[in-house]
Amino acid sequence: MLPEQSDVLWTFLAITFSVFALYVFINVVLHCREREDVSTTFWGGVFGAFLVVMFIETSTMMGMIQSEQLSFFFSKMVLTVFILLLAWGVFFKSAGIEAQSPPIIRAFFWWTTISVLLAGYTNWLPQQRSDPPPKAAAIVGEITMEEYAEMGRVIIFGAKQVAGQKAIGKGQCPLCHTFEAGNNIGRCPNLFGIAERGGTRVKEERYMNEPVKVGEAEPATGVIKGSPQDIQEEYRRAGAGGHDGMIGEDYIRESMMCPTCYVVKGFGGAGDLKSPMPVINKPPISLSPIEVNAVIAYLQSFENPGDFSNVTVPLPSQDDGPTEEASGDDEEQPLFVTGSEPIEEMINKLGCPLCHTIPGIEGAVGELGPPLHEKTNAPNRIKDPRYKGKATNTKEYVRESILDPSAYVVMNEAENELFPDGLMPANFKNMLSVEAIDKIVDFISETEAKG
Amino acid sequence: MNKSFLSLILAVAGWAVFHFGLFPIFTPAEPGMLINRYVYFLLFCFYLIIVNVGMKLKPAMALRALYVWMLGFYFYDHILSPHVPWTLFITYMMLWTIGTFLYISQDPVTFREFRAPIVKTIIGEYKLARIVAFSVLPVLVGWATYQSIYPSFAEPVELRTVHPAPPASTKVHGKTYMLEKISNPFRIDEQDNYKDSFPFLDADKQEYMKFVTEGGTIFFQNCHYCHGDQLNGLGMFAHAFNPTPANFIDPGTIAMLQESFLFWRVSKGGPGLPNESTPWSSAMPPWEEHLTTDEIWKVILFEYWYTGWHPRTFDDESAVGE
Amino acid sequence: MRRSTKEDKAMLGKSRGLNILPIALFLAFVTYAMPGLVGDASAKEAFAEQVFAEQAFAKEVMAEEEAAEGEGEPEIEWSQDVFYKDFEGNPLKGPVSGAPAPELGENDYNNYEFAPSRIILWIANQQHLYFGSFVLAVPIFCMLIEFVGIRTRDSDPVMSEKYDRLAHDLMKVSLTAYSWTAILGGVLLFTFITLFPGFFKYMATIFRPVMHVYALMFLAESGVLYVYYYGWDKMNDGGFLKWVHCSISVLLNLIGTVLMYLANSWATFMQAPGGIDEQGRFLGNIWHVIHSTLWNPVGIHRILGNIVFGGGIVGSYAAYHYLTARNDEERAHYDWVCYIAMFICIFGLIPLPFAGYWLMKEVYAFRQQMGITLMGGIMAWLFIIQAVMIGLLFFGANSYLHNSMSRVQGSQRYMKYCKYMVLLLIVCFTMWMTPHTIVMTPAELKEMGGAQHPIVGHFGVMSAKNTAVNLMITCTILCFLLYQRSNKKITVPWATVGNCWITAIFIGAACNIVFLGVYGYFLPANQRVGLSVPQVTSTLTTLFAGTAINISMFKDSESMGDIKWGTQSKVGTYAIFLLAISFTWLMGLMGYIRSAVRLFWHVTEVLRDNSVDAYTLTIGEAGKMLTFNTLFVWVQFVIVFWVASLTAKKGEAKAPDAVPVPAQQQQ
Repeated sequence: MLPEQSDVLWTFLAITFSVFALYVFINVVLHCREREDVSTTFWGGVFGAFLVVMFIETSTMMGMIQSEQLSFFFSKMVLTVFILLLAWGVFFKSAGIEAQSPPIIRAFFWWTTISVLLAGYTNWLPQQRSDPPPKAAAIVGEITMEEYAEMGRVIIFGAKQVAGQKAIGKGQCPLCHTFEAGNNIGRCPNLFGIAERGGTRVKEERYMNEPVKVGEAEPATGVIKGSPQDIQEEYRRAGAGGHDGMIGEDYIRESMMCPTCYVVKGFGGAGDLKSPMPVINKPPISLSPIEVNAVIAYLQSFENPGDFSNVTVPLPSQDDGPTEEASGDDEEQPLFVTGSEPIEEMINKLGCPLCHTIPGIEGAVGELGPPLHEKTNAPNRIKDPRYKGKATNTKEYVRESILDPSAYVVMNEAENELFPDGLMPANFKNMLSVEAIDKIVDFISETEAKG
Repeated sequence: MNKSFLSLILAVAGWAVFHFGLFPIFTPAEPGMLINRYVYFLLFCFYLIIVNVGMKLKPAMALRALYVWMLGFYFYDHILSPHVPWTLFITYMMLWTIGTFLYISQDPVTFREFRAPIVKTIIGEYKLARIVAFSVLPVLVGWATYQSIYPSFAEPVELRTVHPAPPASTKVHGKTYMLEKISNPFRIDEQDNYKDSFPFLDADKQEYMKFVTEGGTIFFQNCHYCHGDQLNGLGMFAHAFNPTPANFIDPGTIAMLQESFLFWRVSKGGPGLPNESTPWSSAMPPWEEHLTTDEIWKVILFEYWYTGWHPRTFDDESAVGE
Repeated sequence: MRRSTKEDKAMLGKSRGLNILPIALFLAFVTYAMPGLVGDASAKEAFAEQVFAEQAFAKEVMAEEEAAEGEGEPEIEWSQDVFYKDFEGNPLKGPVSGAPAPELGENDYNNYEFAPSRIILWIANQQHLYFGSFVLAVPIFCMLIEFVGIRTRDSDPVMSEKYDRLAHDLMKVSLTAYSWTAILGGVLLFTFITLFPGFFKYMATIFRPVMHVYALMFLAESGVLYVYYYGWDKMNDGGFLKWVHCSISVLLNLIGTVLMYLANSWATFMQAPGGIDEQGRFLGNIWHVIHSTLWNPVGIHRILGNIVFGGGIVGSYAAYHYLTARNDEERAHYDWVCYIAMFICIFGLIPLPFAGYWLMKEVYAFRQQMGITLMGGIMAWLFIIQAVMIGLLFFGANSYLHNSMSRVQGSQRYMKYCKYMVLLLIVCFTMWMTPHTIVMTPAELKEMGGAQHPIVGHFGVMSAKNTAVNLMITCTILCFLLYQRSNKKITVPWATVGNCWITAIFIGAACNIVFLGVYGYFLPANQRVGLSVPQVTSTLTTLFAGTAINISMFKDSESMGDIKWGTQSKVGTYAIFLLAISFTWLMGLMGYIRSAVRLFWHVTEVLRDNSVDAYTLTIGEAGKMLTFNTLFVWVQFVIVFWVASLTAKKGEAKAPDAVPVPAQQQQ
């Protein structure tokens, strides 16, 4: 329940109390009618008044928010019910009607008391709400290595400490790992000195062969062991080499992305061949490359606070983070031609000359795609039996070729094979205004080989 | 009823004798296997049982329930040492109350016996009891209200880091030491084979033992007032401080720290601590103002020698987790 | 078991019935548990073969596709399963045959002004589950009770008649509850569709066929239910037809179990998915999606839970009628019903922790981190609350047993041990309740000299807790054995030997449990876990060996007097109420834990919950919701029982089993 909403439990109990007051009222009236010597008016009036009070209190409850309801319920409603019960008891005794209230009422109060006590118990315990982790840490502006390592620390331990609780951040590492020197009681290896240790460990015999050999892919994650240059591109260390060039950073990264690539003795399942650790760049932890690097930066520097000389990971640069909204404003806008530019500028901006030779455009001598001599070529291509497009004349053909490059793939006469399909971007339709495409089509439809 | 009354008198009198007479005897400074507070409690239980069973007193059920409940209260409140936190105490007493209730209600007969005196008190068969009960009750409620309203000044909960991360370097007597690189100049053998040695006994270790002895002298001149003559943190001033002085015998203190950490800690004292260690609550003075660098190192050497611990080194760490 | 005197004839039937009951219960339990257990045991081997065959088949299909269809056609994409592995340990591959899990946005969630969607869904879900579990449990009861009734017909027609009538009465209540369950199910479905459309769409794409089968199974369930209930009197010919009728109840239970298992597959898929790839794309094998890793343990756990819950409801129903009964005959009848219901209930309760243990094991096997979140992370406090609830259950059960015992003639011999058992229970429970980390003020911390109390601090670890709970179970078993023999004078020649054996078994088990518990402190954590197995074995030994010896000693025993039905004490009656409400609350709690451990995922690691409600509630909020759900469902139960009683009114005037309308009670 949100703070501005009514609480479901207190509202519900208020309603049941109203029903209870109604029940008592009916019960009393029935008793009075049955017996001559009991005054219906008096007792009916008393319990009718209780009913009205209860009803008003309940409707007040309905209009309240949670925090008000709690105090109102316990100070007013419970009190009213208590007095009502007393009055009911007096009624029973005075007229000698019943020895005690009916079992359904007793059972009801017994149950309500127990379960409200249970709810009270749960509210007595320490309260902690756990919010879902942010999707990825955003990096704002230039940061120093110290801040970067701090970001790693927050991923590991969380931003704030709560009294009496283990500090656990998004990465959830301290659930299993320990970080203080000499503390070996964790479920998983102590990470003190891991950076240094990692660099030497990769040379050990056990690392070479168990559980998978260096150079082989670990089945679960597909990571090739001992081969930093084969790590996914966005996670890879710049300039990473093969196994011989592995440094501590590579070892830590590999251990995070492929825990089972190497299992420290005594910490794995199935004879230390299977690591219990989750893959860090996959759900549920899902650290981004920047976050993985931040954690590495922390692990490389936490033994010697203030000293970041051992950190080998690069600082994140502005454009490799999930910070599109920051960089989207200025020059990073998507390519678009409006049609108001001169034709040469449009074609250069779109990058056509990179692949095509286009007569009339200076410097357009690309050879990856067919030369654009469409005035002569297009009619022939429409007649080609391989042609499956919809164009019936040159202009339509050119337009189609720009917007849907795969509709017809031209034969490279010189090599006697087709030009590669899919090389030409298929998203020109997002880059051209209507005016622009008309101008370009007009221009290209008139191109022909010189001389 | 008379027998019940007798039983009550015997129980109260017995408790008084036990509590004021025997309890101090059973709680000496060094409790033994037999002379300790738990044995004392068992003896008191036996006393109650023997008196009631042996004399065939058969006290009323309500009284028996009271005994049982009070025994639990006495145990958790007084016998169990040190005292458990309030939350846990409440939990335990709730359980004990439930247990007492189960004991009362184990069959309808006992439950009826238990209820009888209470009902009789309420409806007025025991006139005096009713007057007493109903006049004491409001007083009790008033007292409870007073207690709950009376302001108390509990310390706020604080999270103190006992062994904070040391700085990378520290400046002592004008010289900058890189904490990571320095080691004790008086630890002359890397392997530290001397820790079972004694001064003046081992001829071949004279030089090392000389440093230890000097360190010991400095320790007893300066440190033992707080850290104790057994290095267990129970010096004569220790009880005045919160947090208490470090106990070097404990495996959680110097045994898991490097000597360079101790060097920093001793030189800079409480005021040199970073904020997360609440420097304002550590009473240790910065010893660099009183001791020379060499003296600090010797004291550290002595502390390790005395306790038998070996300082943490980075070589050790690389073996961790293998 | 034979008695010479004629006066004991009635007693004979009763005790015979009581002895058959455990056997019948055991058989029924085995029938339900076998598929799961055996399936799990042989799963490792069978699974490898099955997977191998599947992969071979998949390869074939791939080859065929390549051969049959020319180039240029879109190739079938293959992807790796998130959970299933082939026998080499590599992730299983399957053809991608569904869209990836969507990234849900604001438009995929709707909400009302008055409450968060998550809370509304929680209430809808929990109410449906409560009713579903009751509706599934009652036919199990009826089946057992009817079977016992048929078996005792020759030896004791009176008792047999009584059993049959009880089963019929229960079924009547179940019939009303059945349609109520369906209504709540509809409410739940619409809540899903209206408040969580994006999530439900994804689930519906994956479980499309299962949902249809589920709906159709409901038809079958209804049909069988109606035949079973309305054909009761017609088929009650005492011979062949009655047996047919009894087998219909078996069919009814089978269909009910299948229904529950199908619905479970959705929940277990959400918690521990399988049969899809990392992006949430369906990999073409619907059985993988259904049979995800937690499916079997959750199923078994729920069946047992249903039995216990049903027992609690029937027990409190009978307890209520016991309190309102107007003559001795009624009182005796409902006292006896209370006993039967509690018996079944406690019988289901004893294996429940073991099923829970299995479930936790599978959770750890799925993701260790999920297990740690449960036992050591943010869910840890909820497990402490669970410990409190378990304690309440033990107290309630023992209190009921003691009170029931006290009305049996000859029980005085054993009643004197009750207080020691209570003491043992309390001491064990104190151990069980001591938390590992204690909330305290600095002053208290200073007094204790550290975060750990030097004495009670030892009780915070698992070793102590396992020991405590095993001792508590053993103690309850002992109490039950004493109850069984309380009115019997053992006359078999080997009585002394037998008693010695029982004593030896219990003392041995207790010593073993305590020894292992203490020994656990001297072992490293990973080996310590292994100790719980011999501890549990000791407990189970006392249960099976103790009961077996105890029952065989009753041969030729002399009765010291009949159980005086109808003299149950008030405390005993309220203990039953306590049990019922604790079950209800506990069930909600454990359901919440199971569901909340997904944290911010709809489907763990596949479909992220991006709604504003994705946080995990504080314990207090959750506790309030549980209390509300508990009270709300009981109000509904009262209404359902009352509605069911309306039909009985006009039938037999003497029938006492109707809940009287409030006004009538007073006259």
